[in-house]
Formats: sequence, structure tokens, C-alpha cells
Amino acid sequence: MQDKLGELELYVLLAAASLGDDAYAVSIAREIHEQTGRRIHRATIYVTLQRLEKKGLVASYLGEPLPQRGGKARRLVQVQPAGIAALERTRTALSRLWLRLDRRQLEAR
Amino acid sequence: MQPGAPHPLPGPARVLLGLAVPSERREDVVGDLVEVHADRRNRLTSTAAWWATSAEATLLALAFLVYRLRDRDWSIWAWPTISASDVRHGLRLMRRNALMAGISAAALTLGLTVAVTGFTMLSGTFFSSLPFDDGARFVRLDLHAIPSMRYARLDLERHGLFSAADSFLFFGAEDTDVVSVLHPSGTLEAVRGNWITAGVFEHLPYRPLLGRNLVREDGSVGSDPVVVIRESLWRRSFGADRAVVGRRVDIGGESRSVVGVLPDEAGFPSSPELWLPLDDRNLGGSNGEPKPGLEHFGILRAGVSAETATARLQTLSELARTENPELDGLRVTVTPYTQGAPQERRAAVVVVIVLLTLLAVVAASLANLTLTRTSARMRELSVRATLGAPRTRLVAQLSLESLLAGLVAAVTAVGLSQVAVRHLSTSLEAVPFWVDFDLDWRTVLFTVGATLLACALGGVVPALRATAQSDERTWWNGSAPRLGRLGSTLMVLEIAASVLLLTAALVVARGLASQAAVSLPVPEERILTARVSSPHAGPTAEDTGGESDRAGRDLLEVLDRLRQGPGIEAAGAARRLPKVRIAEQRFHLAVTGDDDIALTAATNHVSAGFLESLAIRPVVGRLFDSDDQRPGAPPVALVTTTFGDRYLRGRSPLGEKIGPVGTVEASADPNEWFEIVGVIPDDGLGRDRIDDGAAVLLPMRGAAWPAGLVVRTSSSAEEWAVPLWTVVTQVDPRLQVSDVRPLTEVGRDEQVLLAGLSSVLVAMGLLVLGLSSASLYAMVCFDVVRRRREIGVRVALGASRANVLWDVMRGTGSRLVLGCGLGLTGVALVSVADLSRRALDLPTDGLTSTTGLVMAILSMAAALASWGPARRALKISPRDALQQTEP
Repeated sequence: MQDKLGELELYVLLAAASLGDDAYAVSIAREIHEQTGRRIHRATIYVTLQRLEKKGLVASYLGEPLPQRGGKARRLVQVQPAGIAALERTRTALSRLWLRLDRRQLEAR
Repeated sequence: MQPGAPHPLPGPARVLLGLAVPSERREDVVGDLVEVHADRRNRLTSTAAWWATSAEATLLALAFLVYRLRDRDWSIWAWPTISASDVRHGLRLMRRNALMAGISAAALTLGLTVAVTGFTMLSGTFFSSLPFDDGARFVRLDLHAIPSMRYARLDLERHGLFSAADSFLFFGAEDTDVVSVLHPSGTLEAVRGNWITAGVFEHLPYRPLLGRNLVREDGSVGSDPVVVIRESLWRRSFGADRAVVGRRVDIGGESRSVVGVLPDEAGFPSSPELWLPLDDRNLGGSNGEPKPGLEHFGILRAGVSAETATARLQTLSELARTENPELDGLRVTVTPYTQGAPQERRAAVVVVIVLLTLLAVVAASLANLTLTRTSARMRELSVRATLGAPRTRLVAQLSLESLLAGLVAAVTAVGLSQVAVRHLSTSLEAVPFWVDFDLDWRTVLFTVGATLLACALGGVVPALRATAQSDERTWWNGSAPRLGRLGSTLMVLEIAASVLLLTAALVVARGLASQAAVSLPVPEERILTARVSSPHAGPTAEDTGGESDRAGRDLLEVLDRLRQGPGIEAAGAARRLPKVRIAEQRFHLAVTGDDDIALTAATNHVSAGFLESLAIRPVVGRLFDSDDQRPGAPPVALVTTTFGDRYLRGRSPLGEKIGPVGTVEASADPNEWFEIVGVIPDDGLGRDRIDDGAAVLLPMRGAAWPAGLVVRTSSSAEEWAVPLWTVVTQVDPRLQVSDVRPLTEVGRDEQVLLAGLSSVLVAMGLLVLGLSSASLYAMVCFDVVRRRREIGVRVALGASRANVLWDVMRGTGSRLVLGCGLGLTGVALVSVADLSRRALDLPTDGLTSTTGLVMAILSMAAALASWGPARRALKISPRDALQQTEP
């Protein structure tokens, strides 16, 4: 069965995809905030990333230890082909729904 | 910290993440937080960043915990698992460091014993119920009535308030009194008695051993005066004679018929040995006069709670106030009988807080000791960590020792506290009969909680702290963790608590010694005292009008007859006896050629002959004579030497005038002020030395009943007890005599209580002092171990011994100064002297010297505690220190 993406998963997956090789929890939270104005706590990002990883939509690996992080490494996130496919499916579904919407009806409301 | 390195995470954040985040995620989660924390420190103040990061770490930890539990990741509970080999290892280490382990266990035992004893007494006092069926329905009525109501419950009944409140089955009143029983053998015995509304016995389960209970008719006007006695009195004073029922006994000057004997289990309301019926009509005692100061109680109907009854009474009071404006200010509250007043409950909460604070101090001391021990084991821990032991296992191992000590301490503390509580309950007469000090689930729960708290603070927190650096790869090298902000703060707080507790203890102890030391020119054993009240005198002169003249004449006649007795050297009376709690009064002092001075001084009303009975002579001027007591005589006063020194700056007080505040403003005529006619020494008045000795004595007029009689005899005072009784009852058979005893016995109960309180405070102060010293010792040891290499290098570079010594002792000194400063602030804020004076009525001279003494004791303790480790620091050889393996 093809996985459906929740709203939060969509946000996180999109942000990770747009950040490319620099995607990790802190940068993903920052990207979502900058682009959407929505603040998502890092605990939520961790949980969402873990869920996405379980679904096989992203993969994570530890980077190099960095002195500015007290010698700790980043857990970098890489969006997998399945993740790209899930994003495509979601965009297609949303576009169809938008296209069927009569703009005049929307404005009349 | 190296330049460019990130600021370390706050301690709580490190600990929380270490516990909650799975090990495979800890690296990146902690790294993310370090990054965010660094960003915060650029935008916010360091304190704000510290708090924000700690809060975020808490949220993260909670989230990970929830996530792991949802995924059934039980490895989170793996950290507390302890194997038998861990226990053996812990015991072996404790044996190896027997002194430290012994100090820790003893400190924990003492702290827990004090806390558990206090809690057991509070729990027994506030959670016990009356030990019979329906005992929970007995309530106290706190009547906050308006001042014009002399006998509040009667007045309220007059307004129909209680009869309208259908929540009650019964209303009653009681008063505890020490009454004198004159036995046929001629001996006089002071016995604890209860005046009580007789009808309450219909609702009590007490079955008499002989005769009958009190019945409602016993409280009717004109009924034969009766008494019911307790089994203990029956056996002690009547030889368990079964024919005692029907016998007449002289009680408080009145002949009463014994109608029954109740078993010793009968304790309501305050474990008396006599029950005397109150007059139902006016709640009067044996002389038919309404008794002031009665305690009111009620029995609720089934299913009615105290809150409901209070609400009902409040509604009715408001209605009554609307109809009778004179009732403005009236308030009635209903509380369960076994619960104290709200102030007492608040005091109980304060006591629990104090006990927990003491326990926290003990735990803080343990924490410092544990940190010290850990510092000596860093290499062992490094090896274990290198071999793959997870941090949780190391924490569990380090915490195990404090848990083992805690287990032993908890069991010992429960046993010791039970012994202490039983000893206290048998030595304190004031313990209510319903109080049950047996071990109950509340005490067990408190003990478990307190032990876990102490072990967590004293063992787990330092263990977490010691291993917190593990994941930063810095402590494998064997370097000891730093004492840090937590350890220093705990130590400063410990020292501050020592200053506060020791100062309070010494102030109370000195006050007690001072007030107990009544220095009279004659032995106290030769002075007999008694309390006498008259049916002709109300609480104020206005209450009885011309009758007060009769009361005054009675008093003069009693004193005259006593003085004529052979072997009696002097006799006098006072409103309050020496050593007995005395009231303060505000005065205006009109100093000639100067402005009025408003002042506060202890006040007593005394008759002519009172000071002569105590063999006190005037320093200047004269004492009172019989003319000063006459109605209409010019108002005069005596003052103490201290009064004159303090308020008149060395000028003679003779001829100056004083007047009580409230009367002098109303009186424009200064001739109505009291003229000072004599000065007496401070010593000899016992508790009159309140307010550092400034006291004012005024002449006792006829209305100042009940009066305390003081008679100086030529031999042992006890031999004169019955003659005194006879003289008083000859003047008027309705005069009531009680508390006939030598001056040595006056105020003894209170002194025993205060001595107990003082001992407890001193013990607590010494305990905290001992713990502070142990902590200081541990801290200096810790510092020397941690800085061994650095000291070696400094010595090699030519640092003098004095420099090294100063460097090592500096930490102790700065913490000592900080702790003492904080403690002194506490002494000032809590106003120890004021509390002691106001709450305990103790003189508080010498607070400065007491505080100085405490500082000196603490400084000596700190110097002694630091000396040993400091000497060890001086013996560090540079070569040995430098040969330590580099990380």
C-alpha cells in the first residue's frame, strides 16, 4: 500500500528535500519556520523524521563531529526515491482537488 | 573553556537527555541542543538561555520518553537494575571507606529520625479522630464574636442562631482547669479538671465503673454540686474504695458529692481526672458566675459536614447581622474536633517545611560527601566505561551506596522515632487523649518519600553529575568532576542553615536560662503561691459595679489574715505570679521638660506586700503600701532599673509620670497619670524581665481578680498549703482556691516544654553544624584531589607553602563568608529575637554576642575541617604530581 503523508510529514519531507545535503532537525525546523511562519518543536521533528524513516521515505546518517556542536555529529537526512514519489503523489492529488474547485463558488462563500 | 568552544549545556539538560534519549540518538540530539543553546546565548542573556535550554531539554526528554513507551522500548527501565554483585561491590566499597560511609549513614539516620519524629507527631495530632463511634461528628466552634459579647455562645443562643442552625445535634462548652481537692486526711492535691456541659455524656460511650455519669440535671440551677472522678484519681487518692460514691469532697472551696467513677479510657475533652458540670443556664462554674474563656463544641447531625455547618451558620449570622447591627463583626467557624485552629495547622505546615529543609541540608551534605568519594574513584569508573559499561549502569552503581545507607537509615529512623515519640508523649501532659502516635501508612509513606528524596539528592544527583561528562569524552582520563555551582550552592545553604538554627537555638536556650533564673534573696522553697478567684468580681470592674468593692475587701482581708499567721513573714497578691507569662502594654511617658515618649513595657498589677514577699527592696523611692490600693488614691507606679536606664537616660524616674495608651489620650488631666514612686531591681521578677527587663508595676485594685497569692514562710512552703486554703475559705467560702504550690513549681510545665524545644533546636543546630563541617572537609579534600597536578606544578615553579595553603583554604573561606552572610540575613529576616520574645515570651538579650559565638564556632569548625586536607596539599611532591599519566 502506498503511504499517505500527513500534513506534518509533508512539511518535514518538503523542507528536507529543499535543504538537500544540509537537512537535519535544526535546519528543517528553521526552514519550515522561515517559509511558512509555523513553529514546529524539534521534538516533533525528531518523531516525524523517525516515522518517515520507518516508512522508508527518508534515510539518516551521522555526519562528521563538529566543534561548534561540542564535538557532536549531525544526523543528516536524505530523502529517498520513495519519499520523492510520495511527494509527487501528494502534489498530484492536491492539484486535482484544486482544479476541480470552482473559483467563483469559493469567492461566493 | 577553550576559545571558540561552545558553551556547555546546563546540567539539568544534560542529565535529562542522558536519561530519556536512546543512546543511538543521543549524539545528534545533544549536538542539536548545543547548537541551539549557542544560538540562544548570542541572542539572550546567559541566564535566560540557561532556563530556555533547560525547559526545551525537559520537553525533548518527555517526548522521547513517550515515544519509547509507545514503541514498547523497555530498555529505558534498564538503568536501575542492580545485580547481587553490584550490592556486594557497594558493600565492599563502603567497608573500604568506613569513616565516610559511617558519617553518611549516621547523618542520614539523624536527619530522617528528626523528620520522621516530627511528622509522626504532626500526623498523630492532626489526622487522629476521637476514639469512639461518631467521634468524627464532634466539632469545635470557633466564635469570632464582637468584643461586647462576653459569653459569645450564650449571646448567640439569645439571638437564636444555634437553634436555627439545624445542622447540630448538641451544643456544649468546656474549660480545663487545675482545681484543688482537699482530702479528708487534710492534704491538698492539685488535679486537672474539666468543667463541661453535663448533657454531653448522653452522647459519649463512657460506662462508669461505679455510680453514674453526669446527667443534664446536674447542670441545672440549684442542683446539688456533684463531681465524677476518673479511675486514676479514685485509685490514687481514694484507695479504690468502692464506697466513694456519695462521699462529699471539698473541691476548689466547694463541697461536692462524688456520683461516679469513670474508667481511665474516658478522656473527653482533655484527659481530666475530674468532671464538673457547667451551669446550663449561664455556662457558670461552681460560684454561679459565667466562666470566661470557655471552649465551645458541638455534635453534628448524621450526614452533615463541618463545611456545611459553617456555611449554614455563616448564612444565619449574616441574616442576624442584618436584623441586629450590634452583631456586626460576628463570625462562626466549625472545624473537626481533633483539628487545631487554622493558625495551628499553618504552624504544622511550617514545621513540616522546616523538617524537610533540615533533611535537604542532610542530603546536601551527603551529596558533597558522595562527590568527594566519586572523585577518588574516577579512574575505576573510566576503566569500566572504556570496557563498555553504559552510563546508566555507572549511575546505578554510584547511587547504590547511598541507597544502601538510606535503607539502613530509614529502618533505624522509624524505630528511633517511635521511641522518641513515645517518650515525648508520656512526658508531655498536654498531648490530647485522642492522639495516636502508632506507626501508620502516612508515616511509612513519608519515610519512604523522605528517604528517596535524601538518597536522590545525596546519591543519584552527584552520580549523574560525576558521569555527565562521559559522553563528551573528557572524564575517561581520570580527571575528577568539578564541584560546580550545585555543590557550592548546597554548601553555602548548609552554612546559612547552621547560622540560623544555631542562633535560634542559643537565643532560646539563653532566654530560657535567663527567665528560669529568678534570683531572690530568699529560697524559692519558702514561698507559697496560689490562685484565688472571687464570685464578686467580673473580668472588669464595670461588670459587677459595687460588688468589686466587696471583692477588694475580700482580698485585703485574706492578706491581713495570712500576715497574722504564725510563721508567715509576708503576704501579697498580683494579677500574675512571677515566672508566669505576662502581658505587654503600651505607655506614654511624660518626661518633665521633654516630649512624651511612647514605649512598651511588661506590666503587672501587684498589691502591697507582693514585692516584700519576694524580699525585693526598692533601689530608690518606696514600694506600694495599702493606701495605694484604696479606690480614689492617687495613681502611682513602680518601674524597674532597666526601665529608668532605657527611657530616662540615667535621670531619676521618681516623680515622672506614665499613662497607658488609650486612656491618656482620653484624659486631658495629667494628674490621672501614674506617678513613678519607686524603682526596683530587674532580678527577682522572673518572666517580668521580658522586653530586656523594662517593666512597670501598678497597684492592684479590688477588681483585679483572679489573683495570684504569694506568701513567704519561715519554713518549707508546702506545709502552709492547707492553712492558706483554710484562711481563704474562712473569709468567704465561695472563694475558689487552685494551684497551691511553692514558687519552685510555678511555670515548671512551660519550662519543661521550652527546655525540650530548646534542646531540639540545639540538637538540630549541632547536627547541621556537624554536617557543614563534614561537607567543608569533603570539599577541601575534593579540591585537593582534583587539583593535585596543578598544585604540584605550582610548587615546582616555586610557589611558597603559604601561597598553596591560601589557595586551598580560599574556597572554604569564601563559602563560609557567603553562608554566614546569608545566615545572618536569615536571622534578621526571620527576626529570631522577635519571634523568641513574642512567641515564647523569652528575654532575648545578647543576640549580637550569640551571633558572634555562632560565627566563631562555625569558623573554628571550618578551620578544623579544612586543616587536614590542606596539610595533605602541602605534602604533594612536584615530582609525584607531574609523573601522573597524561590523558
